[in-house]
Amino acid sequence: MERRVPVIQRTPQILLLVTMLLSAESSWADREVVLVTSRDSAVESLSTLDIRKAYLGIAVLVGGEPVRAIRRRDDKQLNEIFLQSVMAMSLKSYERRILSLALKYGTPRPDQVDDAAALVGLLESSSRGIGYMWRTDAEGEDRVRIIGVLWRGR
Amino acid sequence: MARPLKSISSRLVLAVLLVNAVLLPLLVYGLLTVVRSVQEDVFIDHVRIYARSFADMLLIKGQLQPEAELQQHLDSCVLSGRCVHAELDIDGTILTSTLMDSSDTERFLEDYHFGEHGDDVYYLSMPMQLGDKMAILRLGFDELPTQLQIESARRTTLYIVAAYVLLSIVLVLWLGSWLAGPLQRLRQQSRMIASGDYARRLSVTSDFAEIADLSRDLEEMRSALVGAHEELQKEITSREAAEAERRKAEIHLRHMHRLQSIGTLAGGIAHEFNNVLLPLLLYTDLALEDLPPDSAARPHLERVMRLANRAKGLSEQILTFGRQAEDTHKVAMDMSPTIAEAMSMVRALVPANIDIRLNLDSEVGAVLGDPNEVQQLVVNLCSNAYQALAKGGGVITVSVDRVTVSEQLVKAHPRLHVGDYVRLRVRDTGEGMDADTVERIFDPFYTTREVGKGTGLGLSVVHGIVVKHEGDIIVASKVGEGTTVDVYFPAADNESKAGMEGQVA
Repeated sequence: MERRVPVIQRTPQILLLVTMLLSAESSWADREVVLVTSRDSAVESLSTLDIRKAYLGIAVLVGGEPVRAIRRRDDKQLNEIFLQSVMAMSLKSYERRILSLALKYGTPRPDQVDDAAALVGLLESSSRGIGYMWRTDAEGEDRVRIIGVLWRGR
Repeated sequence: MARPLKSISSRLVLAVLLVNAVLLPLLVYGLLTVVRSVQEDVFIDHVRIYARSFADMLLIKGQLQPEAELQQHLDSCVLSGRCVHAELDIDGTILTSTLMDSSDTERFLEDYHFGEHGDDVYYLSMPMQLGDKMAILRLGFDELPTQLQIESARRTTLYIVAAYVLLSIVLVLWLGSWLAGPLQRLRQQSRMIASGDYARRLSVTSDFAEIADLSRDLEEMRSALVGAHEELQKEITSREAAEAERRKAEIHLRHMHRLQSIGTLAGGIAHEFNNVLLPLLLYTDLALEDLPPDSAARPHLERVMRLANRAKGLSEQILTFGRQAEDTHKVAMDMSPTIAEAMSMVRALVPANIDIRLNLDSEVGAVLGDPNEVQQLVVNLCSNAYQALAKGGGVITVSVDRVTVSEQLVKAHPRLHVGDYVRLRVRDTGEGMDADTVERIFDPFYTTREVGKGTGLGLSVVHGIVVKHEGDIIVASKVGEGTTVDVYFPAADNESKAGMEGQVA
């Protein structure tokens, strides 16, 4: 017969779990996702529609040059927030849309990077590159400039 | 321990159930996952696009609409059923329209996956840039309809799977019957053949080449076995017949030897008896010549003379049986007239209620024989036949024909040779004899008649005559049906031919 463990004996584990959940929520709650460029970028600001266009591969011109959208794949939370609040579609729909536009109209696919350092490197190499980061990360990085808030936690 | 045998149908059903038991859970799980995933993706896409569109609608040339109109839009969103909670945060000023309790919406746990927080509401926030400032639209969508759709799809999937399982079992049972049917018919036919119905053909039609081939091969095997069985039966029958013939010939030969021994013994006794009788007759005759006619002793001597003559007759008969008599005069004689003459004597002996039928073939040819002895033979045989008939009468048939003795008959009766014979047949419709009686009828002094009514030498004499004529005698009798006696005499031309062949050799 299975031996049942009294709830009182599991209290420390339960408390730890609740603490972790609450800390996770608070880390979400007070954070912001910001749109960044390189420090010397020609892009000063972009509307939400332009950001959506840029991340679908549709040309958005700034000073006659197209904006280069860079997407991050390493941070799942960041991506989920970006897809929901900015692109307003699920990951599958977004990737289908990208593929469809590329196949039908030859639009370029947005660049993808796997960490923040790679993003910063690409932004530095392009005067019209844009990316998104947590505000805390962006403020700790001298080589990037925040040009807009994409999402704010409650 | 022998494994229990299972039918093809049960095996197939078991196999299908096993395959289904392994694969169906995976399939069902996969289907349900896909259904759920599709429904959730559709929901998430729908709410995100709607939220974005709603947010865009609230803006006019990059600026928010007046507050009253914003509130109307939020109310419209909730009342239309598209969302259950709508909230617009403009730098701390919050406009709200909701169906939820305020306690539920205060925390506003934003969802990124369907059913993420278990509150049946999908919350999302949509930032709206207003120049340097930022407004945030927060919407809550009811997840319950989608959950019901997922549940409905899950139930439908399970119904379809259950129907599939049932249908597959029915189909497999039918398939098993279809597969096993010809094999079962083959088995039934094989069992009928095994039970002795060898003429039954093994014929099963099937769409399967393997079963059709099996049926054909089994039929070929059956044909070969039946052929071998028939050959074996013939061989057994042939051997049994040969064995019966051999046994019969052996019995006949033993009988002949016995008769020969008895004949030799009886002939010797009869010869010595004759040596005593002849002086007795001679001296009695002399005494009668010397006696005066009125002598009182004459009647006594005459009685002695009669009895001595009777004894001499008996002695001659015994000698005839034992082939001791020397007074045989064989001549080429025609059988039919000789027998017809003997039958005239027989007719005088038998009562009128006995029907005597003659069937004498005049073309039978001649035999080498003693006519007197042949006539005696006929009389003796007819006398026996007459004795065998009941008092109410009957039929005695005497026939003569010419026959060719075959090897088969020679095997059973070694005294005969292959060739032509004249056959005398005497048949009566009397009471017949059993096998033991038939075996002993040629023994001297053996009789079935009452004591004093027969000497028991009649058929012994017949046998002696037949032996002297180098023929043979075959008796066939059945109790209640009568007796047939066949006497074979070698045809004269046959004998002369054999003699000529002997001279040439």
